[in-house]
Amino acid sequence: MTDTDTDTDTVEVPSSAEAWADLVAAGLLGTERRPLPDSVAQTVATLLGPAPGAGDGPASPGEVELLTAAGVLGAYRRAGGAAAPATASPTSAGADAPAPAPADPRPLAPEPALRLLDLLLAGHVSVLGTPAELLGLWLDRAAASGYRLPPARLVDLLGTATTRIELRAPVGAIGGPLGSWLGERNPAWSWVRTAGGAVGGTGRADGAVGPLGDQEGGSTGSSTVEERWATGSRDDRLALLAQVRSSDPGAGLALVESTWKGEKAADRAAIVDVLAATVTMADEPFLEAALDDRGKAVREKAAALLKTMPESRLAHRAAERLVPLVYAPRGLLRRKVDVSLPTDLDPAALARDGFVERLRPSQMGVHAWELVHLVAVAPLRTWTDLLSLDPAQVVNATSGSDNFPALVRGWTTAVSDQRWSADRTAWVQALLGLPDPSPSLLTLLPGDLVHAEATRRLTTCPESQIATLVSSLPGPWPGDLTRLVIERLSTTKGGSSGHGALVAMASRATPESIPDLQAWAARLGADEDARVRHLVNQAVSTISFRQSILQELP
Amino acid sequence: MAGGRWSTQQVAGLAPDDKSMKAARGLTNPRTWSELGCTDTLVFGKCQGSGKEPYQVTVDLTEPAFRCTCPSRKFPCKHGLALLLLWVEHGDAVGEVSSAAGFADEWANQRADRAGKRAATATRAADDIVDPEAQAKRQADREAAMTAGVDELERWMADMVRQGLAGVRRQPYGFWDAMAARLVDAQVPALADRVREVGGSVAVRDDWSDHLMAELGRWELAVHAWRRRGDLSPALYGDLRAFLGWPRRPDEAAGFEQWRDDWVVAGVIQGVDGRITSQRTWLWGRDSGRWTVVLDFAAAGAALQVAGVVGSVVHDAVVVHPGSAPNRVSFSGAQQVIESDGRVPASSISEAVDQLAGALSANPWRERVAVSLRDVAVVEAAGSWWLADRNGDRLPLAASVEPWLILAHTGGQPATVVAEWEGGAVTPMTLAPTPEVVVPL
Repeated sequence: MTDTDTDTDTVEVPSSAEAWADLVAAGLLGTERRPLPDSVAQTVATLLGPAPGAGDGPASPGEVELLTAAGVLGAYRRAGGAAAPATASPTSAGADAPAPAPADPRPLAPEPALRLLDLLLAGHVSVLGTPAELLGLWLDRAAASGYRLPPARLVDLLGTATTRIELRAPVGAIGGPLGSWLGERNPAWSWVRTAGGAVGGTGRADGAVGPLGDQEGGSTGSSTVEERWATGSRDDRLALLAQVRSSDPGAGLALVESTWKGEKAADRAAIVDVLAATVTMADEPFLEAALDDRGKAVREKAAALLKTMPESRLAHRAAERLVPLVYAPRGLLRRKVDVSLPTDLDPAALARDGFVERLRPSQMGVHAWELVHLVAVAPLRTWTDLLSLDPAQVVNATSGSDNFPALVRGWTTAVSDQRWSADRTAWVQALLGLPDPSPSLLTLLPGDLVHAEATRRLTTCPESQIATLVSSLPGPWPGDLTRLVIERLSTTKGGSSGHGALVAMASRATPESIPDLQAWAARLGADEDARVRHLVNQAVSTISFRQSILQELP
Repeated sequence: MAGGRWSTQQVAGLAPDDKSMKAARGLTNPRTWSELGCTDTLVFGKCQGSGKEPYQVTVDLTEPAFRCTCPSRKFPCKHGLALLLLWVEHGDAVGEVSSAAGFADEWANQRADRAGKRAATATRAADDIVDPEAQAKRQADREAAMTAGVDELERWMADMVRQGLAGVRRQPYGFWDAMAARLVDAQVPALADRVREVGGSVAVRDDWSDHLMAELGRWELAVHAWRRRGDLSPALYGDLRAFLGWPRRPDEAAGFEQWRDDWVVAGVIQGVDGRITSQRTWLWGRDSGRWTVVLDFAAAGAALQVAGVVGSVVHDAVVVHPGSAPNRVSFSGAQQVIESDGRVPASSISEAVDQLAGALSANPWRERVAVSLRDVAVVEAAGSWWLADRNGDRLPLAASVEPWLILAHTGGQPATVVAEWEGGAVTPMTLAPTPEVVVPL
């Protein structure tokens, strides 16, 4: 390219891009090793006319020529280069463009409610307990009322819920179609699709499932669903399963069974978790078969689910193992019933049916622990059927047995797990009548009975256990219950230092109790009770903020 | 009231950061405020803070300008923002009065006095017969210093390309810093900043040799231009002075052109150039169709004055700094907000690119240009984010831009975006997801 012929027909002038590359190469190497190629000057001249001369500066011409060419050519490229990215990729319009977010027909949350949200997000509310609880409440109520969030706040909350995992479900619910759509685009937010999907996506009260929202345009034809099930990514499939299960559990189970044998162990475990949310007896055969799964996690999860289903074969097997241990003399209603420990149960069979030896408490022997397991898993009506007694009578009749503590422990678990037992309430009451009942039993009573029971126990509870009892009382607390709690806490020496008790109060007392709480705070002296007074004030602030939320989002 | 009360979003657009806005929200309980009121141009109130005396807070709506007696160094402080929020959202708490409260009035008068004095000084400076001989000598001295600096820069660059740029990459930072220091001494500080910046980037960028060569070329053009400064057009001379860092004297500034127009505040963006925080407020003139930009600066740690609320339309005869389009301008001090909902006509990407090419060819030292893009959507391609329009053209988003807010507002649908272009990539400043809504980003 050092031809001196200036006839541009015969000399090929490099393009500006080539000339630039030559220029940079020359600069990197240095002009003392190789001077600037003439081609560069020719390109500049062709494109822009002759470059300015070296001028009257002190530097030598060769370098100045290179620098000047860089300036001129650089400016040319910068001006024209603005166009390059725009036309650089010849992809057709729309080929890259993802499908836009589905429309969200829900109205925006009202301004007063949004202001409450902003206060919560800014941390300006003095809260006893976790602010996430109030935030979760706001989000749940807003979603239940059928509102959506303004876009900027949704983006904020998606960021917050990525780190605060307990907020993922509520944010997923209120995020709606836009939240899911954003979750598909931002890998950090991929949790949205499983979180929101489990709740049904658009959070509609009638339980209908929102559009599955992807390029297919929302068609839920079975072939589409099966394709996605067969070929989608792990997160996609789990979200899909959650959605299908929420509207048609049988179809969901069919999907799972269609590919079960080919699934990886970790995926199988995750699938069982999704099934767990909506498990019914129709899933029993599948779960029973899963007790023999190759993967330990799958076996354990299946057993854990079957243990809560009194109609399952697993539960019946427990009953079969239990019945021979019960010595019940016929026809004598008031005779004491004895239950002996199991002696030669097959450990493998027990383990298959969900017996977890490693959770045995240290003061209990292995066989006693086995008995606890059998009592917990066998259907409760086994007892009433076998002995022809009602629950209270069963408890009374067995109270003389050496193994009574194991029975009580087993029954306590049974009433908690076997949610569909017909006489569950009777069992709970029977167990509550015992000297030292587990506080968790209270939560199992239906509402009207809870507070009567709670009041009774509050008045009779020894001082040392007041704080624990208060923490376990299920909310919401009507005003007179709260007054009783305050009375007992304030008269207990050091009892009000039960921080957990006050946290429970903050989340469960109703607004009508605010005047009582404020009166209590006023009564507390300014000395060592200052901390308690501060906590009580925080509780008041929490309760009234919760009330504001419920007012704005009814 | 001119323009009516503002929207919450406009107030949010004034906040220096999210934390201030959230703090302001916490103060919007009318019970913590007293003596609230507003007039045509002022909003004022007293806010009970943690001190004994309540803080006196006043906002002058015309610029807007803020005053608060609290000790915060942020600007505007949370009290000012909270006051505006109250004014916008709890209208009845902030009632219109015929005359402002004492403290608000006093401050407004002081400002008017100061503005008047500034204008008077400027005219006086223009009228004053400054000793022409002394002034000419000062000017000549300065130009001589600059010439020496520029010559030295060219020698230094020539050495670099003679020995080869490959060796430059191994040089310690002092190599660049020493040259920058000499340029500062030679009274070309902006060029010194560029030298430092390029020096810092050479070790980091993948495309360092292209970038360095292009920058050296730009500096060489400045060298040529300086030597021929007598022949340059006023606009190009203005561009050169801006590039070198030679500001105008007040008496020169008094002689600047003024362009009277209804200026739409199209977008605001802040950035950090070395140790200085800068803020660019892009304006678009409705009658002239011109783009201009207001520059505000604050040294590290200090706060920035807010030039204008995004979306508002300001009527003013702005003072124009000599240069090529888009020009740097300043508000005259007599500006008035006449509307709160202005729009800039938008163009396709290829039209915008043509505009860019025009601006870049006129001023080879141009860094940033504003564009208003019609019907663009945020798309992902080749692992990065772009703005794409209906014709299939694309512009890359700057590396630091997160697309989520735009995507959330638009749901992926096309919208009008006003963005600042720099070095081939764009940073969105304002979004209009629907024709009725303007969202500062």
